[in-house]
Amino acid sequence: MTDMTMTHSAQPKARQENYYTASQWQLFWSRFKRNRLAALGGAVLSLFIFIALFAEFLAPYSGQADTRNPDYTAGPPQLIRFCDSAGCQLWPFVHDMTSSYSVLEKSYQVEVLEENGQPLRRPLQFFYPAGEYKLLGLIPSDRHLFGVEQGFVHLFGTDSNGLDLFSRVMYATRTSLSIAFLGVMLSFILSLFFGGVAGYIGGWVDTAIQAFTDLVRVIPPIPLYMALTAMFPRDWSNTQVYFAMTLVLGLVNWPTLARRIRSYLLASREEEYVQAARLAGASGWRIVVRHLLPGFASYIIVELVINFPYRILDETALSIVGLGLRRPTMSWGVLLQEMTTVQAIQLTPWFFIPLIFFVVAVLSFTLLGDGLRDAADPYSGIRR
Amino acid sequence: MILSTASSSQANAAFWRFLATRLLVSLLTLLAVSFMIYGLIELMPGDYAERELFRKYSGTGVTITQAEIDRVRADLGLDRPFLVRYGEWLWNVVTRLDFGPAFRVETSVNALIGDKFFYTFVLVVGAMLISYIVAIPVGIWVASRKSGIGDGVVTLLSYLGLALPNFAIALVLLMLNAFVFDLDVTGLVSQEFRDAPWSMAKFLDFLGHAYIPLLVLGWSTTAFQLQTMRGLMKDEMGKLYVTAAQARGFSGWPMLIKYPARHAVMPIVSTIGFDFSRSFNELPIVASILVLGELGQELLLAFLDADQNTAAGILVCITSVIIAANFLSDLLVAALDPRVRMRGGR
Amino acid sequence: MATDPLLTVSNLSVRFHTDEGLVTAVDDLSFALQPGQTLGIVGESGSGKSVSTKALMRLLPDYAELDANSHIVYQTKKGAYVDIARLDARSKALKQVRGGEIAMIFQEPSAAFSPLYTIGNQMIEGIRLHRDVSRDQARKLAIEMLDRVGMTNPELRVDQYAFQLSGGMRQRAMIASALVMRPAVLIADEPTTALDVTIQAQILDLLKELQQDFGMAIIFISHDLAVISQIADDVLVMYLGKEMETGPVRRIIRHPQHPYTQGLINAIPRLEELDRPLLPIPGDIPSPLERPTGCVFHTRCPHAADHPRCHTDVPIPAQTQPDHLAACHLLTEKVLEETV
Repeated sequence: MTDMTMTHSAQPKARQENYYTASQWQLFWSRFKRNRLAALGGAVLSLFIFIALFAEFLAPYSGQADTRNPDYTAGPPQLIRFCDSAGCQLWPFVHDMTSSYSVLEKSYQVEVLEENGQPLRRPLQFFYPAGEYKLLGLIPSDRHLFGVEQGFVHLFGTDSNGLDLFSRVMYATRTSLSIAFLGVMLSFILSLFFGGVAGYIGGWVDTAIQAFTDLVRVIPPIPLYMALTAMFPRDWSNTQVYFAMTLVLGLVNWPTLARRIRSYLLASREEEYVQAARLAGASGWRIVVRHLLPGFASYIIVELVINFPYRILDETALSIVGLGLRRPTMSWGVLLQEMTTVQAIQLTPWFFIPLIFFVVAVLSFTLLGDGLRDAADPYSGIRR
Repeated sequence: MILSTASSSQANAAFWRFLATRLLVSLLTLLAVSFMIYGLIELMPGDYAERELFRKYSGTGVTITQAEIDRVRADLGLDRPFLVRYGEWLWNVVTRLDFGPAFRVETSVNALIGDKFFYTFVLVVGAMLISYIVAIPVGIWVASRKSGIGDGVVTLLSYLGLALPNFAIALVLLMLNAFVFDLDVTGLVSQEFRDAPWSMAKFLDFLGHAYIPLLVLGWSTTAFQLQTMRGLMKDEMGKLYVTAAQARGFSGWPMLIKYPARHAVMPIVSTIGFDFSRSFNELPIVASILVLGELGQELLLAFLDADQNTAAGILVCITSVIIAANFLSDLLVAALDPRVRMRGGR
Repeated sequence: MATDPLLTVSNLSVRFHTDEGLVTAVDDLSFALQPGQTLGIVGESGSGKSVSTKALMRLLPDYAELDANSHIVYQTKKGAYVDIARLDARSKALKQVRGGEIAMIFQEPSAAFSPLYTIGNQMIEGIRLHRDVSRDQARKLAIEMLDRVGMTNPELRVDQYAFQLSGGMRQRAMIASALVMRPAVLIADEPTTALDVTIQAQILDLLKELQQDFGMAIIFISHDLAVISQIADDVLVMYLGKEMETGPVRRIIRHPQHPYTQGLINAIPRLEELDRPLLPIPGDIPSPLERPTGCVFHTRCPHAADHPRCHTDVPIPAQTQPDHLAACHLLTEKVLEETV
């Protein structure tokens, strides 16, 4: 055969050389940056993570019975105003309102309280000291992003018990994200173990693990969740249910990931570059660290991010039908469940606000996950 | 030169062997599923006897005595060891397709799930048919276009399919219905037919109710399949055999259908079982929001009541359908792909 | 040449729209093909040889753009002239050109046959698109052609799938599927690259033999000048989408005029000079996004340093012999000197 390959010249163009020798990560990053939707997803997600971390600071109230507003049950969202019928002012305020169910009218009656014939204004206070908490579980603080001195502020309205929906959504964001995160991590650890063992040892161990994962995979997960969550005793505390849910999410979902890790390992063991490294005399450990791990790490990160929205979905779906978390724990699913139980949805459309949070979170996670996957492997266009 | 001169009968033998193995594995899977469910419920704190008495006397102030629990237990045969009960149940299932008594409603499991199994099956199969009928042609069409808005719309839909899952659509539908339309969106048959025997009128009534859950249930799958189909089709259209066919002067829709579309549809066909599983998965959630009386509801109640016969019976039915779907998909793939036919398996 | 050319390509330019920008794949290429002639096109990967032949059949992907000045004038079997570059993508004329006038065989016959249909099925499809015959007749023609290209047991082969055949047999089937449509031009895109050397020789012999029988012209693409020299009458050397040198294959191998062709020939190992070190062309092929100015080869040309024109001016192909052209400033200078 004629040899047409060209050797490297003595004076290569610097830019071109950079292109050829860019590390995996640089290539990954440059491809990722080009995807605007994924970057948008990442940005929105950072906002969600911020909410999850600083829920106590962002929420004016605890969202629980201790900060209930008994005079404003199923109240609509309050507008932040600068103006009302009595004129305008520079400082934002809300009206003091009441809402109660009228049996006669069969609907909630909302009224703006008045003082001297004018609507009662409650100016917003920023960094307002109210209920005490520990920021990130460490720093004691009593500051909240906003609040009002007298009365209440309910930006997203209240639920049928008069609990502040805005605060509840903040805390629910934390619960839903953290439970999905823990669930993903747990299934990751399990799948890394089983998939790794199956992929590395092979033989009958592989066959046995495969048979078991096949068995778990053939049953639709929701019935499995049902079976497992039905086992939670009714008298469990919120914390117990929370961790049990994580366990369930982790336990049901590891087989798919384990299978992927296994096939990835099996495939890359046979990759030419790994074989080449082996032939070149690289030690087993060096092969794993230098050649297998970099590709594998990006693969795993992508897999985990892609799995994340599905776990949020599972938790929400289960909680909606009353199988997952339950009151007084706050999660998107729990909040949405309240929505399904209220007979008159047309009376309280703001109960749908948690659904918007859910949709935006799932959407941005998916955009980010797809962007990461495309950046890691530009040739895999198909989600499955 | 290795020329495969194996006659087709020889080649097919490998395939039939593959199918036989799959059948055997399927049966073992069913066995394992039933055992797992029976076992899981056995592990739950408290059995059916306790729950029944608790329900009966709850709020009456009567203290439940251990003797009474034991009596109910003995009545129901729950005092016998786990393996004996499971064995008996399994024997009846295998020999007579009898899933035993359903404790909660004091009837047989067969009577309990009969109609509901039918509803469930129609809903799941219907939702999947909708998704295939919409997604496959539209996916092919969008992929064959030069690019542009079609791709964007399909991608957007696929994201919405995930971010606005069936249960969210069901909720939105409930809200919209409350504001805009005034349809009877919940339930699967009208009140007057609920306990009536099957008749043409009841079936039509069922169809009249089923379209909303069908659309809700079909939505996510369709959005998802559409994106998959478009992606597969785009991939296949870049393949050399397509260029070769074009180089022969073959073009237009006949070419698209004969070559890339038939290749692209294969992964869809081979995941029919998986899609069935996903539909069964989403159904209980949607059903609980739209108040459909189907298997998922019944399964949930069975779990909550520790009713082993019903729970295992329902899951065995659902799993059988999924396994049958897997089987069907194996056969279809073999019909479509000579490589599978000749080499046995995928 | 005295006869009318079968195919006249002039100013063919192809650009690709990519994420990084517009990439020139073929740049102002012109050549002619006579009936019965075998033209070899040689070049490294990325030289545009495949793209330019795909353009002849309008088989380029959507993101490719043919320059408005490009002309591909083809004389059909009926004697009419068509400009393939101007044909409507859905026109009947283009369908007739594809397969019926110009047929193509590929480097990887395993990928060029769909595994879902038998070889016969795909052959019959081609036959019936271009010849007015019944299914049974088409099948008979397919079997005859399989026999003609040297396949044993053609009646059996016609009902087999490509994956059931060996590499050499697959390429024979590919050739049969192209020739059964009776094209006037056969484009062979590296048909022997994926094959063992002995089978390579068999396929080359077969092509030569079939060319004599059917009298078609062949455009033979290869990155391997040695292979081209075995089959082609004339050769076109391409680099980065541009014509470097063209002329009779023997002349070019003995007296290469262009520094790039000289580099290619020096890189061929020779049995008689086993001790001679191989001299690869220095440097890498530039990124398609950074197309060199002036002569595209100047970044790797050993003479460019002494000739500032190479960096700025695009050289025009000049005759060094009546049928031998090369696009190099050094030669035009020399020719000028000689004529003065």
